[in-house]
Amino acid sequence: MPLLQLRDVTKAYGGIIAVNGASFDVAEGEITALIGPNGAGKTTAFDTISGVVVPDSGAITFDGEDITGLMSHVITKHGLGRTFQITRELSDMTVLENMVVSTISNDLGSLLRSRIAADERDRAMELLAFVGIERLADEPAKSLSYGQRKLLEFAAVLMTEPRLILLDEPAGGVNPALLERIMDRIEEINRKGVSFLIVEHNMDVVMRLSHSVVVMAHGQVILQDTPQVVREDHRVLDAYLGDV
Amino acid sequence: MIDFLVTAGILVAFFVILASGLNLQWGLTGLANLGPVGFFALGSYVSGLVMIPPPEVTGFVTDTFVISLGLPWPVGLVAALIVTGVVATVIGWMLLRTDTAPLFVAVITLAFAEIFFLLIITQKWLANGFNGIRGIDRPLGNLVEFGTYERFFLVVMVVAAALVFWFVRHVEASPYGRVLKGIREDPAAVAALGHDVRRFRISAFVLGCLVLALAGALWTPFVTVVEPSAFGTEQTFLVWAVLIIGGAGNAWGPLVGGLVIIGLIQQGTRFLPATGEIAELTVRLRGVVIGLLFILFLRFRPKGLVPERARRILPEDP
Ligand SMILES: Nc1ncnc2c1ncn2[C@@H]1O[C@H](COP(=O)(O)OP(=O)(O)OP(=O)(O)O)[C@@H](O)[C@H]1O
Ligand SMILES: [Mg+2]
Repeated sequence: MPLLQLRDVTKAYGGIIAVNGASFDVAEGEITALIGPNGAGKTTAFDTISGVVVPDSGAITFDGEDITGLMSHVITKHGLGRTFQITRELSDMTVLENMVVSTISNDLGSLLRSRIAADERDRAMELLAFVGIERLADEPAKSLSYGQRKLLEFAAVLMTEPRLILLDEPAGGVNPALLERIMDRIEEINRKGVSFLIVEHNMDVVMRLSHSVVVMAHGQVILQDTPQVVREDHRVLDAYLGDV
Repeated sequence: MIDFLVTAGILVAFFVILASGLNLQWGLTGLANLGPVGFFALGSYVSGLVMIPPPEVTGFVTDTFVISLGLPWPVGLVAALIVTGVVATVIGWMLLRTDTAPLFVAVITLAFAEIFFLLIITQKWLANGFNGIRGIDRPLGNLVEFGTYERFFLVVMVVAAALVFWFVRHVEASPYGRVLKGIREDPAAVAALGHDVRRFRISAFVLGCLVLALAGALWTPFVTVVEPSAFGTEQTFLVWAVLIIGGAGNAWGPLVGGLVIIGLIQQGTRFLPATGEIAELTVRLRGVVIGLLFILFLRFRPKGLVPERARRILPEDP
């Protein structure tokens, strides 16, 4: 059974049907890419999976459990983390504060304690070192470059120890050196058994990373197959050209 | 002169407490409570009703109260906190969803303060309408010599303000406070990191209201009367001015704001050598000056005199 399953998921904004009966799978341990022209509904699909919006109909299961319509924080607790297309770091807080926010307990115990536990801080520093921005730990997040913010967001998601990570355009607007680092880190985390669903326009990234590719256009999934097959499929090219 | 300083000190401490309560809501969590005076009034009224003896005892026989228990001040204080806690929880529960628009929070809290005010003045059976609750005994009034009571009260207020200041500082640095600041900046991002935004917002709202009510319950026995005219919208404005000019989002802001706005401008100007018409003018101009300062700060220094800074993380021993 796949780790994540979408079945006939639909989400409309007023008259626009952003996602229209989409079904696809993410297999455990794999990197699945989600591609399609602008406005295809990729981000909206992410939003329905991660609980940012509730789908109008359809079902989403994660690890065999129905998670359709659950609230965002509950889905995160299930082991499903995400980043945003436009990074949403907490800009007035330091990089390290951004990292430890997710480790704080949801009850009032967090009010009684006066500091962050040392082991949580150490884990955050390790992950910052892993993505290569540990020297920025005490800087306010707003002072980071766009690419560094993408790295921070990725590291912050890793703090929640997810089993599946949804990345919305991790390569968008990032310079080639950082892009190489981001891809490398994604592969390394994947080797540890963490699954990924990645929205990406950069085909080199898609071809290098993914085990499986889902193609969306006009809110619908037009096919899901291996990168090799998808590259040769004329429907994919049509979808992109039809958009121009 | 000394008397003046004592009165000014009491007022400063009082506004430091009020602005600290608002700081928990607006400064840390981004909840624009436009009705702080409503929760302050609620604390005052509840403590007043618990403390006031029945009308037969006070001698104001035409006064009407929904309850008049004649109990000591500490009981009034605890009752004020409990009732305000319940009211704030109910309002927070209904109002604060993960995606509640900030403007909505502002409108509803403003409406709460107005509704409470209208209830008090139109429903005389509740708390004696316009005339309010009069004849409350000062706690320890017989122990502290007449004339020095203000000084005793100053000590009480300063201790209370110091405790509230310490509490906000603690909240600010605590893991809990970091989540609040995250919610202030981007609720959806904090939810995606696994936090129940609604729960954090409600608890922060309630904590802030409790601090506001504490100020009310401290105020009651000092003035010995609780009347509607003390709870006008201008109080809400003053609390906001103290917080914004002092600096929202850190515990020092309300302290500095209280000293400058209440101590220096509102009370300090009583010292200007002026007589007759000019004296009257300074009284009138005070509000104008504070209003202008408020606008200038919002425009040119929105983070206030003591701006909030991103905090470095100091780890706790494992
Ligand atoms: N909050 C919203 N309100 C109204 N319409 C929306 C909203 N979010 C998305 N849409 C619309 O839904 C459609 C799908 O948008 P979505 O952002 O999911 O596309 P996408 O595949 O992520 O595009 P891109 O590659 O440009 O990021 C678009 O037509 C978009 O305008
Ligand atoms: Mg998108």
